[in-house]
Amino acid sequence: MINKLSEFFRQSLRAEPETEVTVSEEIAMTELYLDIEKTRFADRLTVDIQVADTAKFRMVPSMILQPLVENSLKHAIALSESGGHIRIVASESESDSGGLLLKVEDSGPEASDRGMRQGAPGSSLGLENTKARLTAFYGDAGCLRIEQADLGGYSVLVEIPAHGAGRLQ
Amino acid sequence: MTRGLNSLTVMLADDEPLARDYLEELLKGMPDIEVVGSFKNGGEILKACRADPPKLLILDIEMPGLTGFDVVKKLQADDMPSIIFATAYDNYAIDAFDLNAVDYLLKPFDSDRFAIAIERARTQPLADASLKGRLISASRQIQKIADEPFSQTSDRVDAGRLAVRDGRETELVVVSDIDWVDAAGDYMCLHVGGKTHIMRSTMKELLEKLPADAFVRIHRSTIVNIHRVTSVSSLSKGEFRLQLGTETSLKVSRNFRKSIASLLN
Repeated sequence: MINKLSEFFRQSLRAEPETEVTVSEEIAMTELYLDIEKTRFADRLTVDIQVADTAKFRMVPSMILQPLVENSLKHAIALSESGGHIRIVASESESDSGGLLLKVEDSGPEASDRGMRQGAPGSSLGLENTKARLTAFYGDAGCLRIEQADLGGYSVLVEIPAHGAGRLQ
Repeated sequence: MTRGLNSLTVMLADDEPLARDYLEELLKGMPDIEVVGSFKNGGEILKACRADPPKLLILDIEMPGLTGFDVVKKLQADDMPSIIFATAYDNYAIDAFDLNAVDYLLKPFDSDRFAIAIERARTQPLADASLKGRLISASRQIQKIADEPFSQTSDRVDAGRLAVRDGRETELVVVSDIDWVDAAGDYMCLHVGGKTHIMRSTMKELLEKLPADAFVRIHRSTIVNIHRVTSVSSLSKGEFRLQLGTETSLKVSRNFRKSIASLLN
């Protein structure tokens, strides 16, 4: 546990806000973060991560997933007595743009129920920051949108231009 | 198991397993402490506490489902265990706790600080009637619920409904739906189905608005809707315990046992 914490801190200090990492590296960092959170939530938190082979070596802004996962933990898992599920997906975009799609979705509560909690301190700060980072990196080519998740809760989708496949950093 | 005369029975609730382990570990090392329950949310500890109340509850505040504050709201003011909140809240909350003389442990805390809180709970007189009122005003300050001044006219009874004003919201509660009511300081807690409404009122004001044939006083701070009582059991010292369905049980003090005479025939 202490090892994971120190590894997470070390990595997050190293991760400059303006650097990009591969999807594989970003997923590894997210898994580290989730392992730490699992000690809090124990069996109330289940996670699955799906990374398409074609997406593994695409480049993404470092720590782009962490605030999205944190939102799901806060709004879906922490509020539910029985806990819930988080799914993280990295794949090629289905649209014609051929971009890279990152998705963080959770098992609820429904988006409409969360609206009532808005206005609480800190609400939507994570999403605003993420949007601002996407704009700084990619201008209009990066976007973030929220949908109703198949799992029942929020689905946050980040779409960015695909770049860096197989390229060494 | 036999309980020592001075043994302090404790139930604790925290949704984080590590926090529960830590509390249990600390309690294990202390003399004359008996942990009678360790729970992972507010609903579980409330149920256990109603079935067999311990002398002390250690409650995390932010839990899924019922929070630590919600648990307190649902306990009978006249029949409260001692309560210590264990919380990671900020200074603002700490001020509210201090102001209302509420015991708390600020996470992370060490064994020395914990021992002081436990000792205080051990030496406190039990069933302090002001405790629930103090806990509720602290929780309302923390949740920034504004209290409007007492008002004589707004909570009027209208066609069997009571307008309950809580902060900015007013809810119309059907009087016959109310299961029981208890007074906590400047507040009255109306327990209706699974919900608890809190309003600024005095016991006297509220009693005047409730039909006297249904709502009777069973303790210094407790009123019950007699139609909701499903069973009565007799305790020692002339006290009684009323069961309202499977969820709620309320203590009747000997001073008010006449109120339930009609149930005992």
